Amino acid sequence: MYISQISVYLENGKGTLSRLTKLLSSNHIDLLALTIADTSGFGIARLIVREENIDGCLALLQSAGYSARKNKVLCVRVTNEPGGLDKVLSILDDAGISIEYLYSFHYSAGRDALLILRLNDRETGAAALQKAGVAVVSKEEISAL
Amino acid sequence: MKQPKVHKIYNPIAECMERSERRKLQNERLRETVRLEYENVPLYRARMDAKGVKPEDIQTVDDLRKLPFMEKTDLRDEFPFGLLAADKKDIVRIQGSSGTTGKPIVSGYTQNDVEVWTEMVARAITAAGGGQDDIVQVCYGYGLFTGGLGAHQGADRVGAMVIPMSSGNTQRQIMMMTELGATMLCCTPSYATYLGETINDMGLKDKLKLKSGCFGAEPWTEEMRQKLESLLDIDACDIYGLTEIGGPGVAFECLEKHGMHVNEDHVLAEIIDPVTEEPLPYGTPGELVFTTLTKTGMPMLRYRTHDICTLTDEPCACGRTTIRMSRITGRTDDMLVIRGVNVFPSQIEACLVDLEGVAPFYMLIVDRVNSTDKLEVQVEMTEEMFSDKISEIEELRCRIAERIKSVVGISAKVQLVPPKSLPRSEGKAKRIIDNRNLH
Repeated sequence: MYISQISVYLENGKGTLSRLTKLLSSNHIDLLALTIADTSGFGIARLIVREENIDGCLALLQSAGYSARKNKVLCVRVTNEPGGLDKVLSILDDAGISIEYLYSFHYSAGRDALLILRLNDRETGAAALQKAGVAVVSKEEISAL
Repeated sequence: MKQPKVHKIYNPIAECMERSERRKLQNERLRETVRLEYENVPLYRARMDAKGVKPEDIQTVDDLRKLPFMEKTDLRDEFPFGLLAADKKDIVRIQGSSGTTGKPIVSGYTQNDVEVWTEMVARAITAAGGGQDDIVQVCYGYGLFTGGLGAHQGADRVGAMVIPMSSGNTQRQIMMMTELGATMLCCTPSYATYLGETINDMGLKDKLKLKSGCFGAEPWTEEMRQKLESLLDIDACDIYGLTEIGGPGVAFECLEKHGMHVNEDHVLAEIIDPVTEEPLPYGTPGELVFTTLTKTGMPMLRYRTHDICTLTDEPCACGRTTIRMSRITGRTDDMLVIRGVNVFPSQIEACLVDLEGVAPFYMLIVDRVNSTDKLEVQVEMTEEMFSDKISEIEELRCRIAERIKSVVGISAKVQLVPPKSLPRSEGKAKRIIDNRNLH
């Protein structure tokens, strides 16, 4: 039900991100989604790669000296139209679930947008969304993108 | 405005005594201190016994080299009262400073010790031109740190009007300084420079009545003196001391500004080779070692300061016959002085171990920005410390900074860095990058 995401600690500095992407590119790892949370001193890059690349990507980053960690996040499909996101958020709100962060990406093959969510209570949140008919995206579907 | 160079001496009998006379006094006081220490301090008695030295073996200053050393770690190991030579009921004051680990060190003062200390600072203030016509603004911190109370007591003793400002709040310092017409300043040289720059920026230099100051508690250079003197148009005199020996005033500069006069009737100064521990002659740089001659609360015999300097017995134009010590040109250990606070990397390490269970690799980076010391602590993040959540990482950073603030007593900027990103050195780990050029 959940998909894997890799989080990487990045110090603020010129070229930090391109060093990361260069490393992934030279190892032929395709980034499906990337978001960066930034603060005055550092940032955290969150990456989505295909399931079969997850462990290899993590090992690659760690051996290159990055603080990196794999974690499970929820990925749901929302219709790419006004109110699509609002619907998901309302369900979570009604279920009393807080969102720690979210980001979305749009995959060109379909009309839908994909939403990555980290929730304070993953299980309850996922159950509430499924019950309301929101499509939860599986690892296999991510790999097929 | 700078004063004409007129040498004033607080206690001419003690400070200008014939050297042979002073030597007799020192011999007598040394014998008494050794007896006091041997009879009352088990740690030191055991150390003398281990060397086969009895109190009667120490008759003159020349016998000093037979005595074992004392170290800052002794104050930590015997914390708080193990090194007292006096009854606890006779201790009237506790002063302290940071130890090498998380635990502070404290020293107990008898009424006599407070008197001696007060006199030493009174001599320093007088040597910098101070007297009962002066208004002395003290902006060293008041508290366990000896700076504030030490300068206060000394200024009080010479009969000056004392403004006990303590540290911080620059705007208020400047307001009081100009409104009350302070003529002397006691603080760290870096803070004095910061005050000077701010006063110049505010266009208030014309309102100043300052003529001189006693500046210490951190190492500084001749270039810094020139700058400070021109910023405030004053005579800037160096003052040296340490809690273990009695606080500021152990040595001080006169208006010749050519080395600090050691209060030799109260302390003996030696220079040793820090490796062989053998005494070195005057003029040779080495580690400064002090023996107290009049302290009764917590006397110190051959206390290793780890400060590097030279001593000279060349006569001074001021008329004092005491020997002088040069500026501190370095340390034999890795102690840093940041905004007047002694900081050891091992203290930072202790904070990290307390929080994380293990010590991650870390580095201290010290800079001076606008005459104010800035400490940055870079900590390599371990896998356990890394979180996907910004808030958790920020919280960890704050926790480390708060811990350092409470244990070491200094604000530090904490920066978490990726693993293995800090430079490794071969052999002994290099923990410090000091960009201040203090020596």
